[in-house]
Amino acid sequence: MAVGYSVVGWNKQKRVYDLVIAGSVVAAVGAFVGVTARGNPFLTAETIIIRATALAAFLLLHIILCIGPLARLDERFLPLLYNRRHLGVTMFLIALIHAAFSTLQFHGFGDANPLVSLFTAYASEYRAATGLPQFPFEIFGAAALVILFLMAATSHDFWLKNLGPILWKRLHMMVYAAYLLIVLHIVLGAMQSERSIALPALTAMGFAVVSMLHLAAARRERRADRVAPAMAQEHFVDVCAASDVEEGCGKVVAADGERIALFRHKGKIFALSNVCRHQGGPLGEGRIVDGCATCPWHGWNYKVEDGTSPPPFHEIVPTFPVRVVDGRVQVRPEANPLETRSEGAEVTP
Amino acid sequence: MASLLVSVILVGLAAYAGVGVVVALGLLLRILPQRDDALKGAGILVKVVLLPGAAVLWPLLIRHKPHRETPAEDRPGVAPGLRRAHMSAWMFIVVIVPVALVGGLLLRPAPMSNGGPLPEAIRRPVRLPVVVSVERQRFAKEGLAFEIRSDRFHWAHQVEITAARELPIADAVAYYMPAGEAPQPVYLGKVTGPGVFRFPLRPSFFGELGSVVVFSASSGTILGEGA
Repeated sequence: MAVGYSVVGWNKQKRVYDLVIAGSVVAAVGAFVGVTARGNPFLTAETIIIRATALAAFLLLHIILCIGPLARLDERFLPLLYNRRHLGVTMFLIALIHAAFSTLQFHGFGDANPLVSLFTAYASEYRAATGLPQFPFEIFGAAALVILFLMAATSHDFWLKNLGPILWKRLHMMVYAAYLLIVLHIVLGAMQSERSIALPALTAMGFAVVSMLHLAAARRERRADRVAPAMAQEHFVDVCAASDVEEGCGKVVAADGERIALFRHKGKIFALSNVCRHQGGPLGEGRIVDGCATCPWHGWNYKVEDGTSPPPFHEIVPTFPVRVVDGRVQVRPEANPLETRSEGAEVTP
Repeated sequence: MASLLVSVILVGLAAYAGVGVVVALGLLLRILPQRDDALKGAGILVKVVLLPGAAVLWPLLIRHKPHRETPAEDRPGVAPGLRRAHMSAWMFIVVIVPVALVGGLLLRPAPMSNGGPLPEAIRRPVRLPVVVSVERQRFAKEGLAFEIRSDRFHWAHQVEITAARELPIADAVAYYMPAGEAPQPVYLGKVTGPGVFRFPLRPSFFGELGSVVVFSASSGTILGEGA
């Protein structure tokens, strides 16, 4: 949380994270260039750069797509979620280098505008020259690049605030569209000209890993969302035992499909929206710090009594009516009006 | 027609971005700091970072106001809605990606088998005497050898490419590069391998001795070159 915007809110962890990203990318690209140049000395430098950047960007996209479900499945992966934006921006820049070199190498030295040639050349001329089928795979790559640009350009808290969290989240969920477009770009492009089985095998393997992680995370989330309707009393829904919520910790529960973050603070249980106002992080997976519910993703704070952020911040999450009956926590899934103060539900031993 | 359409779209996009930069500068320097306190104290570097996005998304910035508070009625149901959208997106991907991968593999050009029909170049009966035999050893790994042949009167010329085994790419093509400054490459034909491929050269292509290049038509990977 910050009063004024900065380009990057640097801290030690972010520096380490970015150094690891930069080091890994340089190592991966360097290894690929070294192996390729040694194994195939007839490749031009531009071709090697095009392939190396394609591989690095696609690999980074898989890592980005895996971080979300991994963090849902095991909280030890949460540090990877922190700063995921930097991974996304890095991936966009690498993809941009790939696009620039590809356009320059294959379309930059003719008499047509390179961008016009990019979208029109292969479909007709390639087929006429070779008789082989060729698809306008560049369109898929270009569309993916546009999405990656929009995501990279809006990877700043300014955009979250000025677009609103819902629109911002929807915009960034377009990463799945980008993934699909990139797969089509590969399938209709490089996979058609290369006979090696390595490319389809690696693409399929990456898809399998990402899919299985998402499936596992979805199953876990679905279990969390299950609520016994019979337990609803006076619009209050029984969600868990009071003893399940440890002092100073949060717990995510579901009531009528709405996820609610329970916190136990000074012996009382409070209920807040589980959706952090920053990036929609799971507030209930955080803990109490200085009397505030603290989001595990980026440390945004909310007072447990009324859901407001401590001054000078303005963010607010809704609170929910909560009570403890016979050692069971019951929550009413309709949110209170914003800034409604709650005294919390006393947990009697 | 396609070129014209693409040109019009690109000009339209460039115009939109040009207008966007001007509007974004106005928004970031004048209007938005009045609506968003955090932008007031931000340095110029922050505004530079925000400029590309603002130049594209300026209609959204004009329409939206900073979301300091969440309307109470807006919050319930939003998170489940996003989760459902997330799940739907993945369900779609889970179906489409395997179909695309399998389809892509099926669409791949089939490699030529030894028992398959021979290309026209191989059926060509005439084999002219060698006038230039290029370095066979150099491309032994790729199994490629190149020769430029001619009859004794030098009326007819021919490029002969011998591919000892199937080439590692499906779209290998051969070009003849005439000698001289800024030569215009001459398309010869496909090279699939294994086999002997002979391509006739028109006399006009055969001034000084040129070179033959075999490369991937889509990626530009050079498989072999004889000069």
